Amino acid sequence: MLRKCSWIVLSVLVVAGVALSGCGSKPPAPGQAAPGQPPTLAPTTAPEPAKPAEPKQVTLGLTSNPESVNPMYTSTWYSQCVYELLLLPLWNIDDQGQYQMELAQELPTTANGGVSADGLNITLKLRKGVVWSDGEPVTADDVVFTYDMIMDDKNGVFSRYPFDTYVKSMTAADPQTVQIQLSSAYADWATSFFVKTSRVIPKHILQPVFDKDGTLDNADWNRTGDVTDGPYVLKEFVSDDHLTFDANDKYWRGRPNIDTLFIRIFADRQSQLAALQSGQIDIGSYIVGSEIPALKETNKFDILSSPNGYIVTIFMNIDPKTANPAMTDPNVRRAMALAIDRQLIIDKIYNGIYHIPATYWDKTIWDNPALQPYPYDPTQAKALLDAAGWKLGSDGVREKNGKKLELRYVYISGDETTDTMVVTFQQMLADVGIKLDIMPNTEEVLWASYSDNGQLPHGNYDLTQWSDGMWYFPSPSTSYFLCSERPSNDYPTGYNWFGICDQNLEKVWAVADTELDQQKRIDDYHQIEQIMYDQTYIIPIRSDPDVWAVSTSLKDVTFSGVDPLMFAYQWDVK
Amino acid sequence: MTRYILRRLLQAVPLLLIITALLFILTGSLGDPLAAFGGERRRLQPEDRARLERQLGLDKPMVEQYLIWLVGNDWMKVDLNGDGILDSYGTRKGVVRGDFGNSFQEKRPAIEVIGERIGNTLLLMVASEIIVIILALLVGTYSALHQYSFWDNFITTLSFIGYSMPIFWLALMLIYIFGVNFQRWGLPALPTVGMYDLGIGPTVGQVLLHMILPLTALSVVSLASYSRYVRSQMLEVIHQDYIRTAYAKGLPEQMVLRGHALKNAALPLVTIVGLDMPLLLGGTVVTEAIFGWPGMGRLFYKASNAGDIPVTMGILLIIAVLVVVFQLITDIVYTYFDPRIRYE
Repeated sequence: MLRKCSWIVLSVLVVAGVALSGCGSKPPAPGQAAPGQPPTLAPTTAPEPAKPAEPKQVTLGLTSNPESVNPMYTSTWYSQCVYELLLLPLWNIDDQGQYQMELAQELPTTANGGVSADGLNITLKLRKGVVWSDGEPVTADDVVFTYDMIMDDKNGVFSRYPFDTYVKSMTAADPQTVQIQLSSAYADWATSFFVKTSRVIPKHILQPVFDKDGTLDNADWNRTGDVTDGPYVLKEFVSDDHLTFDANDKYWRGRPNIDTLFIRIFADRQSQLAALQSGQIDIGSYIVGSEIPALKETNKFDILSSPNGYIVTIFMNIDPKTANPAMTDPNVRRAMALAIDRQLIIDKIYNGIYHIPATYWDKTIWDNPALQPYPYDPTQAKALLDAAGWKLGSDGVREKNGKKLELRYVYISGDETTDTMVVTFQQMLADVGIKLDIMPNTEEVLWASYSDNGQLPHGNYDLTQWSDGMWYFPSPSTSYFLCSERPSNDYPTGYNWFGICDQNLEKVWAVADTELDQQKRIDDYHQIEQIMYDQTYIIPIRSDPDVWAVSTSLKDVTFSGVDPLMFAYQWDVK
Repeated sequence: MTRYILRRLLQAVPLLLIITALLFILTGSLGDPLAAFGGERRRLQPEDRARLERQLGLDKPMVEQYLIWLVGNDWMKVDLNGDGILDSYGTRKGVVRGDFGNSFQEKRPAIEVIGERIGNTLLLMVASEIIVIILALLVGTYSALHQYSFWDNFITTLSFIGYSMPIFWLALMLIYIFGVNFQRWGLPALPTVGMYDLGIGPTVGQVLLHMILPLTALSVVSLASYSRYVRSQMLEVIHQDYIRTAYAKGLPEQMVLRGHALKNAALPLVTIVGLDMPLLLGGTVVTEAIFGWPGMGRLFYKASNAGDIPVTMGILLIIAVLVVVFQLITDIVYTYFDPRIRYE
């Protein structure tokens, strides 16, 4: 009881003390006199130093782990995003095909003497004043060193192409000049030599490593990226979690606006979407149509799209040795193209953010403007199938000579929108009497090699699909459709898994890929597209641009479908 | 006891050899590791594929690949440049000498890739296991002692709901309620991804905050099953004669429960926990993926999908070793709980 009373008294005293403290006279403001006192001059104090501005930070989401900082070892799109922040190419290319010089002073051409008339000698002039983040200058020796390391057998690089095929020699004529000698004319050299996923690495850092270890495979720099020449320097790389980039004061364009850029890595798109909605990241990548309504609902994001030369397309096995006989008939292939309502799929499944391509080189300078996407015309589709001898059976499935028109559709599953799209194909083709057996699979199984008894190289399928396009965009080259690329026991690594062997196509392609005059080359590709369209060798479904969600708190954020983050140095916060 | 332990350890060697051989064959059959090199948007040139197969040893028969994985190839000559001449010594030392090989995907030592994740996974899984064991003992014991009471029925209902809940659904619901909707409603939202806020850094407070949602998702399902188990064991034990005798002797309830009932009821729980321990290191794929927790489960899923044999085999080997070791530890711990158990 006594203890309880003591607490009450103490509480009252505290409250009273607080209340009474407010009754005293306020101390005089500076310059004012206390009551009854003569006024005094306010003491002069230095103004408070301005608080340093908050560092500008932006967090970007990626849905897969960039595997290495060293571009020699990987060329995934995710890794490319990292390279673009750290390492300079000779030039960047925006999705309008405009070249933006970086390491190079100018694009070598025959007009400026940078390329010899026969196309076999290239003289590359490097920009002066570009330095690595430790102050060392970027020179021709770095370019030549990069080439030497790519070609060295002791380095397990991802790819030596096109250097192993086209480059005879590469030397440093002086610190600012690289001399490249080609073994044969190569029309796409400007879109593949030290650009996009191929970048110049620092010789002064990595030569000692190579000399000591005999390889760059285990170099610390491959993870730390601590000496770079791009707009950012890598501060931290936690695999499958995040990367932290600090602005590079020595970047030749000047320090970027954003002081710290974080890349947060997500295992799947759901997690990225939740992080966007809850404001944990500012930019989301690889946004799909089904996510757009949820993002728009927040009123906090702009949706930006960059064409990148890729489309989602259906490929078909038409190899007479392995294909279903129906697939070797172009009328059947055309009927399938006419039976699929692609606009409906784009509107309903992808919320209308894509368009229907007409050709494999959709919306690029190589695209044939005379060709329009196959229309949706199930009536015409049925007529073509009837004319081809495939009559409707009692079970609703067409048949010919006792054989049902039943086709195997193999694809990479795991994405709900893709799964929904494929099931929709199944229904649409069923409406014209074609039965589709859907066979979902993983990437590693679907794309297993000929030597591993891969389904595709051995023709154990009828239709398949994935997102594909110009592997060296904006270069149009592809070896998918050449007769010589059909895999076999003698040539198991061929990529023509579709069995296409069209002599008309071969003739035009042989000319197109060695043509140095761009306009003539464009004309050649228009011919290629016409042949492919007439034969319906592929069925383009939808465009597949890079789609980004960008927070409205940011400004000057733009992307390129060729070099996604090439403009990161100019991003800013509002 | 010492002889018993030594005998078990010696028996483990051939056992592990058989396990790793079988796992290696299965892992090698998962798909083509080079199929996804470059990702969706780039394919390997034929020459590059042939070179990489040679450099990674994928052109060799499976048995040879296993032996190189086990004992290395630095003692024999290999054809480095593909000219058919065995001109250089290999660089692999083999697992028996601590070299797990280089990750095909990340191009660095597999043991380094795995080592970075172990701590993250143990943090989440051990915390979850501790919470689950403590709560399961408390909840299960209370339920057993108040059988068929309102709270027992309530706990039983919750257990069945928790046990039936798919963890991916629970994880996504937690994210959308506490992450997305809390923010929309103006309430303090919980972080839904990663181990800490990148702008703040890896402080203790940040990591604990980021652990809340994944721990909740992990614990709910396990707690449901463990608490039911504890309840049924306790019900069996508290009706035994020796418990009745203990009460008759006048011992306080707490002493009877802790000293007699729980010790006997916990014996089967020791088995379950002992079996679970090595699997803790495997992490949990779904929870780690959804919450962006960079742990072993997510790494294993990614590596096995991509055919990254060094990393996949590294993780499987570590788990296999831990299963053997923890089986032995469990047997030893039995002797503490039940003095009647002795090993020769």
